[in-house]
Amino acid sequence: MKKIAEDDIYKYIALSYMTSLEEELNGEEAAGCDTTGLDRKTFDRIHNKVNKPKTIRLWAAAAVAAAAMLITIVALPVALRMLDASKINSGTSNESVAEENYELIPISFEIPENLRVADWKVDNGVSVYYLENEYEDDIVLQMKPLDNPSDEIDSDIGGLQLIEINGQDAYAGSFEGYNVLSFHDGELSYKLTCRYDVNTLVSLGKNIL
Amino acid sequence: MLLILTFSSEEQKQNFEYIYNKYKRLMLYKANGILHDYSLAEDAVSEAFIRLYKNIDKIEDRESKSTLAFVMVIVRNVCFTMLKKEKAYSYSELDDESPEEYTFENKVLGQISAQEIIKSVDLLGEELKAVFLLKFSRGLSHREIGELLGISENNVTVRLHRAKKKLAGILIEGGYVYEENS
Repeated sequence: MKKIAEDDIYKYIALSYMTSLEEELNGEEAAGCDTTGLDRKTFDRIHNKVNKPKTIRLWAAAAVAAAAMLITIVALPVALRMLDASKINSGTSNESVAEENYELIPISFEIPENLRVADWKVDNGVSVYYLENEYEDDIVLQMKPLDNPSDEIDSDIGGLQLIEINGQDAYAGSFEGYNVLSFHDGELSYKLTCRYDVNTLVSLGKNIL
Repeated sequence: MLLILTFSSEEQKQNFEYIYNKYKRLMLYKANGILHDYSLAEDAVSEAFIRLYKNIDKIEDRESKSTLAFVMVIVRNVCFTMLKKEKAYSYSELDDESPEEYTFENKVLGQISAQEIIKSVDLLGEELKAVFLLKFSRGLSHREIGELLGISENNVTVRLHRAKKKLAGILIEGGYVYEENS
């Protein structure tokens, strides 16, 4: 696979460089350096870093606990009253409400070796898969039935660019903190998101289309 | 000097103290060679060891030569970051967007000597080099690299992307990477 071969080359280069650096440094002496000042600075900075975060953490934990208690005391009775009111107004019971059941859309394409399904759920008709990536750019894959093949691809996010994957139209975009790829195959609509590199999504898209 | 520190295990404490005491002089010497200011060099090395202290669990073998190189990468990065702040060193590689998209697809790495590897990686510049080495020699995550270099995860991602593209260009144009069937 292209990505594995590329990373293998980079690993080889990086490891070779570090080996050369190790050999260059090994045996180097710096006996004349006085480290009194360094020791004092390092101790002072580490000592301050050790104490401050702990103090901050304790105060933060106390604040969170107090806020949680306050919310529980104030909001819970209100929520319970609203729930009772809605039951009375609807005139229905939990047992008589018909819940729509959405089935999980199975994955029918080959998942690349660097990915594995870590979790999944159905959210209001959309099948969501959480794909753990060996290269740390995890993917969230959303699939839903395509109501009308002539509908435009889900491009509700502005700034997407039209690209082609295996001859099919797709929309891709890179934004602050995430990347998106959107397309359909005539039956299902797909939306893929990841954090670091849109090419991670395109690679998976090639397996789907 | 015995440093009184807080660690999650005795082993981590011993690892840190071992590495600090063994390499502090060499790191100070190297930092002074970059900064040409002994007090600044002390600041840089202490900052580097602070970052190491927060990531001491990344050290698997404290006596390994690879640990020395790892510490050196962090110290160098801190030094050049300080130089950049002093505006005594200009980073040009971040503005250097290669016009071509280099790729290793259908290509293989040919014979390349250690000196040529050093030269190629050094051409990345300090900022890109540090991210590249920590990622591909140590397998660190973007978050871990960000903590060690004092930059955001997003910044790590961007620099790594640029480092890979730039290095690919250096290797291809240097003739070290060629078509698979040629």
